[in-house]
Amino acid sequence: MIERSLYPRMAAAVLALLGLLDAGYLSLERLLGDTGGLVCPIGGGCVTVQSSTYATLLGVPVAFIGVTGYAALLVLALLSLSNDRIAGVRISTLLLALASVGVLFSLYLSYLQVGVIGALCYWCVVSALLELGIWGRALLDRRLVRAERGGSA
Amino acid sequence: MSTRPQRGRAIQKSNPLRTFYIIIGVVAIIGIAALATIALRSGQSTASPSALLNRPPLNAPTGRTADGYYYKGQLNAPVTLAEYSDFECPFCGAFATGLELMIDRDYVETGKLLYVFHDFPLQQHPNAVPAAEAARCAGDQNAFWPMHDLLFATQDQWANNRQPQSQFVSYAQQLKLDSGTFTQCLTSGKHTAEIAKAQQEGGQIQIPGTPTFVIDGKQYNADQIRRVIDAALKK
Repeated sequence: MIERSLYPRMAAAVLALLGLLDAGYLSLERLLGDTGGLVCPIGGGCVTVQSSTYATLLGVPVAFIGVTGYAALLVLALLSLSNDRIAGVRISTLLLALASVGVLFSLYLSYLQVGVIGALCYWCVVSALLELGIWGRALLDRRLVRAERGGSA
Repeated sequence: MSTRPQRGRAIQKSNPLRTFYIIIGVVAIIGIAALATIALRSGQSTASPSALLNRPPLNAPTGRTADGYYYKGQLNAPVTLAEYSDFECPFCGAFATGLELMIDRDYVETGKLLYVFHDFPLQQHPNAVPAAEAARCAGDQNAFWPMHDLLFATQDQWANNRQPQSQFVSYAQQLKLDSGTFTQCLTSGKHTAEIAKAQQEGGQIQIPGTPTFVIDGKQYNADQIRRVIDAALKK
């Protein structure tokens, strides 16, 4: 049994699920063309961003990368609710590492939207904020684990 | 760093976790249902470029309004609709290859609706202005609406082309226009100022995006116009 607050891990799991749904929506839009939307807003949006040459990385649509990343974060966060380690590695470390990669990737994508494409996609911005939220929770969890180790040493 | 006492304590495996699993399960189910709805709704879209290209010629008068916008329908029709549109906007394309066909059949060709096309090229679409010029250059040869249809039906073929002009010339040839006159019109920027003016006018009435439809001074999106036209016809 884990003897510390599971709140950061629960929050990370919820945020990862929301991110997974967000990336799932963007993937649908990518696969099906326009989906629910009706209007091209002034200044662009997800269609502009997703039809740009920057919407794929090494041939893989960024939305699909997002689905994979969020799915991995969700699995890790859910596992962390009942385990502290998998295969001998601390889950809190794995979670923080993966979330850090996600935040850096989001930062790069945000830069592309603002600095290069010149259009902001609402659901991409939401994804970046969710990544930041997950990273914050992962950092908090890591500190709790450290504090616990420090206390019991 | 402080954690609240009840959270800092050992979490009993049964209760809080079970509540959490229920919550996250419900969120997952709602989210998946929403995504499925979006996927299904998109599959029902009636947009079809071939339907637009293969329809019989429009059975309605066409021309230019006094302030320089192309229209289709009877000038004395009871309802006037202005579409603010961008040839490169995918949603304008979806409208032109879908709902607009029904609007033409049910309202424009039956004399109930005067349909006016306002250019509103958006800054994020680099080919929107050249396409608007192509439509107006075709309009000089009485072929605005055939070019309008052709541009929307082939949108994905020219939207990402950095030099779409040669494609537009081939469309003019396809419509049996005088390609020399058309090319001259396109390269000289004959209609650039008119398009900029149209864009400015759209900005003045705060058109939020394309396509936006204006009936009796009020703005609507594509989903609403059928209902609004029907209501206006009953007045």
